[in-house]
Amino acid sequence: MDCDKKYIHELLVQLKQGFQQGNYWAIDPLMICLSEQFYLRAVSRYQLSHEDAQDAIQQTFFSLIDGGIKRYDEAKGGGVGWMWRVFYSKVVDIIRKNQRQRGRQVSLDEALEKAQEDILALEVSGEINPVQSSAEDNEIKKALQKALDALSDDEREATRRGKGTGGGRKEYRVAFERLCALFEEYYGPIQES
Amino acid sequence: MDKQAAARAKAHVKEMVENASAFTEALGLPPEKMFTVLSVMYKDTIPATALATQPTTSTGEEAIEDRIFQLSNDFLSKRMKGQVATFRAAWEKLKTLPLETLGQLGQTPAASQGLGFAGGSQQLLPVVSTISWAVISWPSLSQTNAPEKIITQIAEEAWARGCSEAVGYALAKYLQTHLRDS
Repeated sequence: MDCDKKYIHELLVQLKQGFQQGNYWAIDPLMICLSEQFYLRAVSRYQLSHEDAQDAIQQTFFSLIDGGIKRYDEAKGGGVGWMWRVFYSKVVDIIRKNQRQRGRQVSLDEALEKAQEDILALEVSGEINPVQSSAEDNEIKKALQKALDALSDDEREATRRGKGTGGGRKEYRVAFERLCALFEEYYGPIQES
Repeated sequence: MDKQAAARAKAHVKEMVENASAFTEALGLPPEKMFTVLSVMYKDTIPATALATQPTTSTGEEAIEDRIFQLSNDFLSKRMKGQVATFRAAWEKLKTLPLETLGQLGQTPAASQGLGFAGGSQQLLPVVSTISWAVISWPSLSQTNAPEKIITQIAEEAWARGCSEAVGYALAKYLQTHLRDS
């Protein structure tokens, strides 16, 4: 999802200010805004596996929670570029780890070079999102948004809360099944895997 | 640093990812779509004013490709459900073709096989090709002809590309309605 640069900056400022009090609410919107673009870049340009790309994304946000956010310079700004730099460093960490564990599958030098090029391109472009969703992804988004819009507020909230434990599981299951049926109606038949 | 709060925040990040993963699987989508699903599931929590208005690289040609994908996917879902998965898989190759080529493809076995339409899926190519032709030609089609004439003209194009009489006629009616309303 493409979020405004100023909004990303504001979230990072909020996260930095809330850090000492253990207030991490800004992590959620940061993840919603950036994780899809991070994923697409990790698998297409850096050839990470699905699992490694997922890991790189989680480690990016974990590193902010662990104190990395303290290094964000709110006076300097450039929140989007800063987040991409944190992400690229996690991608490189994973490639480095894979090299140690599995041998020289992907060149670390190549990955570092790509990361430097990408950071430079981002700065030169004025932090324009470097990743565009495919037509297929856009169709999925449209159908899923339509299905979510057709749910009641309670149902929508139940799907976001997730399965969890204890109370609310029945509501989740009902909402979940309805969402799947609506998505199938709008997008087409669901393929059995 | 509040270690408990940090642990809770990390657990929440994992929960969002796991929830999106479960959804992606239940929706029948491949795992690599999970962050696409996540971005939509939680989109409502982002203020509308925070959604970017920065320039995109989308071009007129990409918009036409999107329209061809959308119409093909919708028509196949309604009339030829069993072919939807083949179409989506082949779209990655099809969309790399120039639009004019896409609109001119006929039902030649070589083209069908090269584009992943082999076996019982060969009727897909005439459908996608007719849709491409109609989308590209719509500005002139809609200005010069009455609705019945448009349907006849599209149906003839569909038959010429190898669609059966029933599919060609259904496709022509479908396209006339949907392109008129777009």
